[in-house]
Amino acid sequence: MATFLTNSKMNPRLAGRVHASTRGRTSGGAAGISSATRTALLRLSILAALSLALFFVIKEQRDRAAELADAKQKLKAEMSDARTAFPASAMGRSDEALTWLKKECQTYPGDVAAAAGAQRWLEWLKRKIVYARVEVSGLTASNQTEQVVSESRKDAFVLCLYDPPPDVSEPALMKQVSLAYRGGPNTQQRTENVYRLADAIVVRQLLDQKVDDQIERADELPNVLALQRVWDQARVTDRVGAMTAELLLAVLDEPKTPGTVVELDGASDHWARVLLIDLTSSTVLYRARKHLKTDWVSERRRSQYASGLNACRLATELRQPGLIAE
Amino acid sequence: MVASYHSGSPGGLSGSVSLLPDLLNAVPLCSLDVEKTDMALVFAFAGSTSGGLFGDALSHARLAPSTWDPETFVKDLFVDDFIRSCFHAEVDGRPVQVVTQHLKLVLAAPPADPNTVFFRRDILAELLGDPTLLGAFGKLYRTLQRFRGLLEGTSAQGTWDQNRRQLDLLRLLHELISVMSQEFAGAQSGLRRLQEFGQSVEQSEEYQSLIQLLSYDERLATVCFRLGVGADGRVRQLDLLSIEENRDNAFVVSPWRRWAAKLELLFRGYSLKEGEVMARFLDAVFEGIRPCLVPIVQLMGDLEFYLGAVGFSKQAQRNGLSVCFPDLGKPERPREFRDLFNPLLLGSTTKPVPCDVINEQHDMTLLITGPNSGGKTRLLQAIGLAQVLASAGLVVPAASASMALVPGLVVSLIHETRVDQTEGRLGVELMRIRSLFERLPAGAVVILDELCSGTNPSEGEEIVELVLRTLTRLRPQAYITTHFLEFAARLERENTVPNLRFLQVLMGPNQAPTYQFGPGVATTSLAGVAAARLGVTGEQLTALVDRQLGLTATGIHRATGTHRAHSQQR
Repeated sequence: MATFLTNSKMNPRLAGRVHASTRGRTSGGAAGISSATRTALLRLSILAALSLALFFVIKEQRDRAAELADAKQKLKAEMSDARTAFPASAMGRSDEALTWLKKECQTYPGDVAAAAGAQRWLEWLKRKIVYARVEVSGLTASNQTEQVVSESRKDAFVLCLYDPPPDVSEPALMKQVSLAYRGGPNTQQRTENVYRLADAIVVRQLLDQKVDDQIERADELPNVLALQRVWDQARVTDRVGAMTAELLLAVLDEPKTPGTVVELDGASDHWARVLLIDLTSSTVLYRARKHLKTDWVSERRRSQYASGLNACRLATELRQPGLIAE
Repeated sequence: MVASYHSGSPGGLSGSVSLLPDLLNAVPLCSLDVEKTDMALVFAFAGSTSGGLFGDALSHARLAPSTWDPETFVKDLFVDDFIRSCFHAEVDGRPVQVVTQHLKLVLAAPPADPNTVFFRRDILAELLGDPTLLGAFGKLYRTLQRFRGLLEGTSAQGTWDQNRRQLDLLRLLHELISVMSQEFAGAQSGLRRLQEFGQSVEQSEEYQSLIQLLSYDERLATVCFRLGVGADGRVRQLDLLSIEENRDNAFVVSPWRRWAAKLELLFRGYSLKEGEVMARFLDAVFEGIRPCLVPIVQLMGDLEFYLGAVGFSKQAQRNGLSVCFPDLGKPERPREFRDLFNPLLLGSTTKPVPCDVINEQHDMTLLITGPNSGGKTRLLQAIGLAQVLASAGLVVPAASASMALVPGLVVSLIHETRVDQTEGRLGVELMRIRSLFERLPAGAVVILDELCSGTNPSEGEEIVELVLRTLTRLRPQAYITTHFLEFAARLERENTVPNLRFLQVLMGPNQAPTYQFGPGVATTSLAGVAAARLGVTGEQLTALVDRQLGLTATGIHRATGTHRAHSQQR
């Protein structure tokens, strides 16, 4: 075994003696182990143990780092894939939609193309739409716009707008309302161009640069896994279509007419604003204010279906203006 | 033929140290217990207290074969006293402390090989004749003394730094080898061995490693800088001009390698201290140079032997006396001592008086008579010591001498009474005679003082004559003193004992001994004169007795007077 005490300048015999000197002398005859050797063995053992421990610590850290990197890479890849599903310019549309909603919840500015006919609506409905139905009071009174919007679903209004009944009789309306209430593939198929504004908001939030930064800054795997869970639970891939929407369709329910009753399903006598915004050009395509009543609904259905029936009737009227006499 | 010395330790000086610097034997001989001495040296170098390493080793030296038996003469010739009082080793005029036991061993065992005797004579002659060589000899001894002092721990001073001590030891060893190889180049005698030994060590790899290590210690690097001092005495400027490392040195390595070496030693069980690497180097260098240390220990004894002899010679000269190398020949040749003196008197207040003793041949018996305190016993001592010195290859206490090398020396001068002796004085004397013949080899020197003096003269004379006649068969060089004057005169008249000669103390005016000797038998022992000199005449003794008695009477009178005075008072 070589030793650092010798070098090439030394005579080999001298080097041999220096080497022998480092091996120490035995204390108990040729078969004994010198105390220096015992100490050396002990130190080597300690060093080996420390090195092994250090190796495992480093290996563990590297494994964790690799795991962390893999988790980050996976999430980022999924986010990147999601971003490719829509143009970059559409990223801010959900925010714009929210801005429009807040704005439209203020004093009603007046109708726009209120007399738009069926043809106009047909053209509009061919485009991708995000839909939200919210109460005006809910938007004006709350700073949590996104939360208010998240409660909005694709309801009978959307279904009837895309698939209006042949007439506005209660049975005909009820048919669509039942379909809307049941939901499922039939409803989805008829309204495949419509997405919930809430979905767009969720996707927008999860694809925000801040999330990327958060992922990048995460130094522990649980943090990244938590983000992954949020991503998975959000079902972004299912919702990402909402980012392709170009139009905002919103129904803003004003407070009920004072002195009127509220049915069990929430229906009441109130005015509703129908709004269609072109988010790509930031223009109002349609704005109208309609009076919704519940007294026309039969007693039998009023408490449970008045809201849906009114929604469907409103949508049908938009598709077929003049169908309902004022 | 030069004998080789192998220490037995593995990896010794590889064949280059095959020349022992043995100054005592014609054929070089390692007289020390190699294994024991080597181990003692290892421990001493490592730092154990080892006072007496040199003394112990030399005191138990096994010398060259000798036919002499120390028991037969060392005590009676006062060899210890001779060494103490006469063998004063000096270097640069200053006395040195020698290993007395070793000197005694060497003097008590003269070599059986005559070549060794002449080998030693040549060395001593060269030392006495060449002051330069003698000076180098002294310098070598002084250096060896310093080496011994440091090694044995007797000169330890200040803070104990093990590495520093070992480096100092190696430095002294380097100095020793240098003196040996350089300052004995002109030697013609056995002193040449010093140069040969020194040069053989210098040529070895192990010694070169030692040189390199010392150089590494003394000069790892040379830093040159310029220092500017202002008018106020303060340093104004310090410029580093150059740094030059001693890179050619085998021990000089880069800093990272030095650190790696330290860490390596840490894991090999050594400490991380600064000196640990140097300690390993010192260990390795010492291990290589170790085989030449036992011969150096032996050399100390050799040096003291010759320095003692030189000291003896100088001491004699200071007292106006001469020493010489005796002419050593065959026993049939005449035996002469001119201006022979007793060296034991050199250290006393009594100045030795040299005398001449001349005999026509060596193998003869000389019966010496004369008055008491005439110098007979001193003559016997002088002859005995002269024989010891001549046989050891040294100078003898005489201006000139013609002697022969003998196979043994038997001396009986002291008649001491032992507490456990079972015989009376005659019995002891007879046992002494018996012991003489048991030990006496043929041709040896025999010295007997007052043979059979402790018995009836007529019976004692018979025994003496028996001894004389029997001795001649062994052809000894015998010196016997006796107070049997009539007996001696009869033997001289009858001349029936072969090779028997007679010597007497010559007296001066007023019967005072001259301490010179001439042929013949003394007619008186002058006991009366000795008695008068020592205050043992009739008158002197009577006066002594009277005085004692007078004192007693005065004492009684005084006591009586006091007693009467007390009675009167009552």
